[in-house]
Amino acid sequence: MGLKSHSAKLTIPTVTELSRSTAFKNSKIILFIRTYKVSYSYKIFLSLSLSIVGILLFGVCKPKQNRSIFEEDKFWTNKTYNKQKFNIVIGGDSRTYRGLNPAKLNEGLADSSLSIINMGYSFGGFSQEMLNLMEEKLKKKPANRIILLGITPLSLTAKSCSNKHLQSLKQLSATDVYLKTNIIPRYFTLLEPISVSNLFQAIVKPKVEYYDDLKENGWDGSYCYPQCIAPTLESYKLIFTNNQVNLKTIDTLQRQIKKWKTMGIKTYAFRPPSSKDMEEIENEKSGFNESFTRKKIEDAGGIWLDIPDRLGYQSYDGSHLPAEEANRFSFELGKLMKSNL
Amino acid sequence: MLFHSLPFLVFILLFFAGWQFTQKNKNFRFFYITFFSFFFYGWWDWRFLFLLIFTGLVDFAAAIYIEKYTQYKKWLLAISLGMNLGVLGFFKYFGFFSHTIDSLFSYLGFATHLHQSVQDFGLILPVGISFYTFQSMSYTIDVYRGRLKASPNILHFFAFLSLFPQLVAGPIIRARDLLYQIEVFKKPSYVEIWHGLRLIVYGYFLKMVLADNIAAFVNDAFSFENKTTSTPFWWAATLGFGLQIYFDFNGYSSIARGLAKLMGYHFKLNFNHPYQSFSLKEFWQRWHISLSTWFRDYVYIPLGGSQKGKLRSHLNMWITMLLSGLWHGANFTFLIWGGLHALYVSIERETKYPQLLAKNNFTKFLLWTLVMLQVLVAWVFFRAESVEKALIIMGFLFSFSSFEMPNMHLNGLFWLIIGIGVEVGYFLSTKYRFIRHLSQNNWVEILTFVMLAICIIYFKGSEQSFIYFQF
Repeated sequence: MGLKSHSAKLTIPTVTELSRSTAFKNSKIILFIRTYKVSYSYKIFLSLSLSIVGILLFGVCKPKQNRSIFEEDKFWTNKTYNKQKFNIVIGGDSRTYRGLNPAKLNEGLADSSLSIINMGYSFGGFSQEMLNLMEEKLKKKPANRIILLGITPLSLTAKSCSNKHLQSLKQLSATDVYLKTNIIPRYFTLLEPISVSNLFQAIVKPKVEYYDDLKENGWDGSYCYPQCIAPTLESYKLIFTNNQVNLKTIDTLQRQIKKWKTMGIKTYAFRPPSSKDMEEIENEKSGFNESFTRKKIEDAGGIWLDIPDRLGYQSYDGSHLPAEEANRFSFELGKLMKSNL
Repeated sequence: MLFHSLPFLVFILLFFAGWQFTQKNKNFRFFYITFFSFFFYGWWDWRFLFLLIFTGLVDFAAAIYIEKYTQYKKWLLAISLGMNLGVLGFFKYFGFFSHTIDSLFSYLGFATHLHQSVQDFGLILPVGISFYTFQSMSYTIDVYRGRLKASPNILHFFAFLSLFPQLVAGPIIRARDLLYQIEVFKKPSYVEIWHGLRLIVYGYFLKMVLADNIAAFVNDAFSFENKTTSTPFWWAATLGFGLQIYFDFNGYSSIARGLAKLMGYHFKLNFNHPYQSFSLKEFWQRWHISLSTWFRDYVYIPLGGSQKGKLRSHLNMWITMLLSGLWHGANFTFLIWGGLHALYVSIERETKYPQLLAKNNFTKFLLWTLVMLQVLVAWVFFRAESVEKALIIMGFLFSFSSFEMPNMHLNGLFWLIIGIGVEVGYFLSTKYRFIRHLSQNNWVEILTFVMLAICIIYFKGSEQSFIYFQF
């Protein structure tokens, strides 16, 4: 029962009585709340706000990945669009961009004034376009200008010379380049995508784990644990089917080296180390003749670098060198180049 | 700019920030739409704008003069169509035809160098040219037929022609469906905003998550990276492409429809679950509806449709299908794709087997399987880089010589299965009321929205441009 006011016959209802009264129930406020709860504006508000919360929560809780897609994008975009010029430009395919660390090469050369960039690409081939891109990255005269070519049989095939990886990077607009190199890796790391297989691997330990350490100098210090040699060798047995070393590519290379020589650009070439089994497969299946290729390069004025104990490096997959071996190789190559300078 | 890019997000926020201010003045609204749409289109390549403006001006003027000088309307229509088809023919088909002519004459022992005479700019394909030229042609044809009054307001016309949600990859909106809509400012209700947002999120999920993830697997397969002859692998790849192109295009159309809804406009459905068809006729009523109805209304019916006898009806259908194939691309593979569909429809018309077989659930299932087989086989030609490669793949599909499964994209396969699940889910919702009611539950809708949004951000595939941009 409500309190009785002594001054008048007005009865002040209690809160409980108030909440039970029909008048209150039908009041505009309650009506609004009830209709709002089933209204579309409520659905919109709830969906958008829960989406934002869900996205942020997932971003925080998602497992860390060994390979960052945003960092990879930045690495490749920077490599292709970096306007800086260098004394030494390295070119080749994945065996080169994973196997040669410009910083260690510099130590081997013992000349810190030389700037070096690794312009290797996935499935990179020595097409005219690739060679032109390498030349563009060189400093203008009278600086020391050197091109260093990692010659693998695969890099001399027609398929590699289509340079699909490079082509896909060339499609980027100026806005995309800016976003991928400056904005996205800096401000959007929380929203980095993850593949379902990576998510699964976070729960169930993967059989093989890959690591990448992407450097601004164009080198990818990579590693794979445990070693996965057999599958790589198997894939290389197939890779040269209908895809042999192309003599036209060697001719293009030769012409370019001659042209570079007249421009005062020194060209060095070498066969990157991989593994004994890999070299056997390549020598047998790819149509690659190392002495023939070496002679072509030397006739054009290039210098072929004989890697001492080339088969003495430990690859993690039969093709690519892990970071420590790549550093060791880069240093030795630097010393070798120095003796030939 | 692509729909799934950061610049587009900024663009759309700016657009809707100012959209409210176009309420009172319709000319300002037309200008606003045209300005933003031109900016959107010019982002790809500012040179393309000149082509869009030129074709638009010709059609705008042609429509007005068709109404004014009825004695010359045939000539004026011919000028409009000739200009549109000429531009399309030059940018899209000149390279193909010149190459074909060169090859033919070379085979006969003569050296012609027609292809070399094509200027570099003639080999660039302006984005969306097939879509906006068809849209523009439908405008002048409808004015010619007296079904539409020509708009005297050039801004009104360009707002219709260039409206950015559908400019570069459709749906192809008829002038009579859109012109009157953009004349009035219709503030979207909360229902429309909700449905618009749902369509946008759903579209992004179809495109960025399903289509782009499946694409990695399909692209590897069709570039013969795996070097396998395994029959199950190639059927999986073909099914993968069938779903990739469906999710890609349906995704884009959904985003376009959703954006239009947020503006208060309504675009018709462009894809109505075509892989749930029980005949090829039904498939074409559900697949790329805006294009198939365009070809029906402006090619098939003017040729006589099915009114001039059986043989003529088949011929008209074949012409329509072949042109539809050619619309998709300047390659013999697209012609063969169109031809295969024409063959399927001809057989259906003559045998009437869909009606005969649709007796019970089992025979309906057989029918559905047959339709899917026919569609997937045709997709092989659509996707393959050449007729030769398509025939090699056909061999793998039907040789049954190998059943080994090579290393496959687990990620791509996962999303392929999810994509199949999405379609199966829709099918079940049409069959079972409780599933339909469940899907319409508020909390289910909200949670689905949230999950799709999370998937779009975190599970998107590596960036692929919309497949239909190449058309």
